[in-house]
Amino acid sequence: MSAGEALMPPAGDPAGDETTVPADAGRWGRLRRSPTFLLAASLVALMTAVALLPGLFAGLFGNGDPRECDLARSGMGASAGHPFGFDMQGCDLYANVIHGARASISVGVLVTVASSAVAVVLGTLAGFYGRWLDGILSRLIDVFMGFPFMLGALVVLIAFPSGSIWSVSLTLTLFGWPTLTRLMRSTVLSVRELDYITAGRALGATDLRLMVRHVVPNAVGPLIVLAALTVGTVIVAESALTYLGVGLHAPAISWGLQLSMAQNDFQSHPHLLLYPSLFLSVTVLGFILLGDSLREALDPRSR
Amino acid sequence: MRRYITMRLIALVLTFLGVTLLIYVLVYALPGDPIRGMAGDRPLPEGVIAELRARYHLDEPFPVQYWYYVQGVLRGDLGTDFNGRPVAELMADRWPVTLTLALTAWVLELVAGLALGVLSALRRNRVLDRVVMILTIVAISVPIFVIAYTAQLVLGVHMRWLPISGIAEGWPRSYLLPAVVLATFGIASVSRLVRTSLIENLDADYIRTARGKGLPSRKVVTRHALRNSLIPAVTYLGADLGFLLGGTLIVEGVFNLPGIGQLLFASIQQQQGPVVVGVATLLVLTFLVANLVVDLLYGVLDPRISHVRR
Amino acid sequence: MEMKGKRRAVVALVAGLGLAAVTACSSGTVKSEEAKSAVFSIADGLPDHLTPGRGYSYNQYNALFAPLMRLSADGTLTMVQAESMESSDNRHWVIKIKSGWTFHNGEPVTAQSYVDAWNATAYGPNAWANSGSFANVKGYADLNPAEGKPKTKTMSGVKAADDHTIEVDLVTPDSQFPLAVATGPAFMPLPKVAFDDFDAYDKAPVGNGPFKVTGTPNLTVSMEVKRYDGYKGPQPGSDGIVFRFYSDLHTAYTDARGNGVDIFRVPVDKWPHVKQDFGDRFSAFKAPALQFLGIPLTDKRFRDPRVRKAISLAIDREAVNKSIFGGLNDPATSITSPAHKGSPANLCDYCSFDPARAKQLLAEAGGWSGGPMQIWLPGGLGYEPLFTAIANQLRQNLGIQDVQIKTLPGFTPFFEALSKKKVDGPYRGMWGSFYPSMAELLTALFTADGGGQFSTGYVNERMAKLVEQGNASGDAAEQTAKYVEAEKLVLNEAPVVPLFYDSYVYAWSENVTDVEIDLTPINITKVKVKR
Repeated sequence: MSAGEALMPPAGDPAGDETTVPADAGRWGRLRRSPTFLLAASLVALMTAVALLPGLFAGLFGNGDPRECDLARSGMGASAGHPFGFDMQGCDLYANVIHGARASISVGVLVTVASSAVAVVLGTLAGFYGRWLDGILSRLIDVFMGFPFMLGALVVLIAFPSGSIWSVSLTLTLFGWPTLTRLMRSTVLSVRELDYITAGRALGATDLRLMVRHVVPNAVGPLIVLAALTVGTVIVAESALTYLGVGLHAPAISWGLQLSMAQNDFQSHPHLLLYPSLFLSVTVLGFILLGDSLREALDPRSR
Repeated sequence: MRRYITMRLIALVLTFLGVTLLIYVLVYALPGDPIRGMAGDRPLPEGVIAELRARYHLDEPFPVQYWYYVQGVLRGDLGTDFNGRPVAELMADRWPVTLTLALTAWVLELVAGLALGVLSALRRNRVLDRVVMILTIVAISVPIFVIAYTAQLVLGVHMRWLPISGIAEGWPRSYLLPAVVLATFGIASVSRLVRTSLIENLDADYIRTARGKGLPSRKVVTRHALRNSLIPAVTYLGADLGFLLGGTLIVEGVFNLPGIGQLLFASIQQQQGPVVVGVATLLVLTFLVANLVVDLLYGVLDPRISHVRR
Repeated sequence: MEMKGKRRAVVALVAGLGLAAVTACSSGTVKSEEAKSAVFSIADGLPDHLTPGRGYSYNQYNALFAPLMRLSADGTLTMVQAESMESSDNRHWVIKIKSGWTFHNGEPVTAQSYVDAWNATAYGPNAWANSGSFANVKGYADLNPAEGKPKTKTMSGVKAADDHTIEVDLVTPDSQFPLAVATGPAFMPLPKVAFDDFDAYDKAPVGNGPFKVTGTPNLTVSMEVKRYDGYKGPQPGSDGIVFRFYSDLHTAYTDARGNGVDIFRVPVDKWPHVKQDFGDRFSAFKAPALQFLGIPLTDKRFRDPRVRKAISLAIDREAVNKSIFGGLNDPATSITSPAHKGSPANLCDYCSFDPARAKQLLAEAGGWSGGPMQIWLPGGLGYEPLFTAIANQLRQNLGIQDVQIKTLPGFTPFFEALSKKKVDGPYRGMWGSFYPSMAELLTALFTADGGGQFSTGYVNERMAKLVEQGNASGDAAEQTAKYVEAEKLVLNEAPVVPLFYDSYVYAWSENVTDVEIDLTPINITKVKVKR
């Protein structure tokens, strides 16, 4: 232990916690001025709009029906009214990519929201109270995380093969919450030792108030970053399960399905891989940037 | 501390029992008769099916099946697959492949992830940071099978730098490409985690105080900021070794590495109960041990977290 | 184009030499010997059993064992280990085998080697996969009683009259029996050592074929076989074969493009690209196999044959074949294919593409009013594009609002759904004949004991009678006439929708020549390695 060690714990503000957590108005003001946030929010908003109203966007070029297919056009490139060309079934690729947004984003958001909710509640409780609660939860997390995600998802989805958004989301949540919960737990673990929490406790604040007002806001930053990433990774994980034949099934339309169908043909028809990937990447970009800017705003320590 | 480790070891044994039971239940719950499915379109005579079902206890109710399995395990016998090959032998052949692959990928994550994370935090919002950001998003947003096929096609088929598949050339050449593909996601995640928390810590008051006191910048970064920033990354990396071991399935498939991922996938599809339970249990155990090590490491990284009861 | 090809060949050669040098250096003398000798590799799944009666590992059986006869790609039978196979009544068969042949351990191959092997395969408690090959042999039932243990271990219908004569008595006369003997792995012989310990033998079998195992193969990465010098049959064009195991043949496809593996079966979703990637180094063998849509005949929505015919007439098989199969299959025009001996293969009057007639027939039958129509298939095996295309066509050409595909994760749950009658729409059906006989296909699909029965759910007793009459006939023309009559009976009721005659598509690297694909499916003795 060197002398510098004494400087390690964040000094915080000795006066107490009230001043370290900025008022809500300040946070929003800072958010609204952030160009990153604006970019991210518009990307996410755009993709959400596409997911909610695919018909509106798909019809832009006059061929909005993703199921109107003609094998004679199989794999053909772009042409008038068909900006992205056609897939191997001879269906309009643009219409399909647009319609794919709904399933992919729904799975991504559903799983992330559900897992994060579980993570905030369980992670905070376990990290804050420690002892037997933490012990039980940690072992439970061990079991779920020790269960290799792919193995678990495969077995569950083979046992209950409905191939719908709901079953896939539920399965992904089942194996997705532990990562987030563990992270939440470990950040809560370091936050609860902070001086102002100790001070708050000494001043007689209730556990609930401490957790809701101070622990969660201070510990949720890394979780939000990881959650934002999770939306993207879940969309990608869905495609991996689909690739293995247990994820979403046709007649569902999703980017994952499009990508896994493209795997055999992308060398001669790169557009089959390009457009779904592009939409997927832009969506993931949106969520990551959103996560970043939210963290900046939520984190009391960043200025 | 000793008490803590003892408790963890007991928990480990309990987890092990729970997991084997859980997996056995799940595999048992899979629909259909594995013996019938084995032959694909070539149907087996009814007599053969009945005989094989009896041989592998598939005609017995679930608790009896599980009891046979546990009895076997206690005798050190992990059972056989439906072709009569011992599970222990199947795993012994494949485990080293997966372990080599996962460890190589893990080291890549550790080294590349940390390096990229630290660099982009120190060069925040500059070109390097932006480039890393874009690479991260690409790595995360492109499914692993697409990365795998592309890498295989470009580096294996067209450039011929590395073997396309198989393990004939051994480590490192045969493992390099699959390990990089396997690690892309982890590198991206680790670098982002490190970047985020390092920036947070660099902005923290104690670092500013340290700088204000005139400590050299390099020392501040390595001694204090970095050390405090490692916790999320260590959490991630600790968990990730287990993930890598269990997540090699697609990469092993694309690069045809005869590891346990492939074995597991095939066994789940064929509903080879004893194989799935054997492999999964081994994975879970490895993960639990890795986890224990990570938890102990916390204490070293952050003295405020103590495993001694207050 | 030519320049590019040449340059690639040079690059390949250099890379190949480099690779050979690396492997030679790294793994000592065994490998360097191998680099000089003419060895080629075959991409293969993991073998299940190396004993021919026990499993489905045809490539290994073909290397390690010699069949009695060989059926070539054009359908002619040539003798290999057999001298002759004859019968006067198609019921009592006499097979003479050549003398002087030996197993890899020097033991002479005798009639008894066959009789013992066949009895072991047919013996119920052994539970060997190919036991069904002897179902029509007298005494098979005694070895497979419905209840309890069999009282005997030998079939009364199989005898070794002397060292070189096998006599077989069938339950019902079967003129097609020689085809079954030529193609079924169950008809291979076993040496005495096999009977000491079947499981030990299964790990390192001793056969009578052109290649022999070296040591005990480790079935994880690859398995090597070496030329057997004592082999009396047609001499192989190579010194040995390495079977490289792949869990996914898509990887073998990529590997072969870099000459990393020599011969492989092309996964169906790669068919459209094989010509571009392999030029003329591929072969599509027209197999005696039918892809069809099975129909849940107990479902009242499909009870009217006009509905089933309408479905069939709404499918543009040519277009599907072109874009989904790269044109490598043939659109079905009948149930039996031209590859089935004697089949005229144009008996189906509802297998053309005629959307107008399809709509009309559907309207006559009262239209479709059953909600969405689901086409069921086992997922993850490459069938999705085919059935998606069919679903699209049915929707567009029949005017049914919603036609969807319904995938189940793999064969096991798919067969389970079929056997539990949960399937409520057309489903993926397939039968690859063990031997190219019309009788085999019709029996398998449309008789109560047929191997593919559960995937049609349709039995026609009158048809079975006709097939039996054909089987009993000694005259080829009369046989065919009976089979055609039988097939017409079935087609009248349209219980299935024939889709395509399937091909076995194999491609190979630049290292090998003389690759012939037939029913076996690789004629491995013919393959030559480029020096």
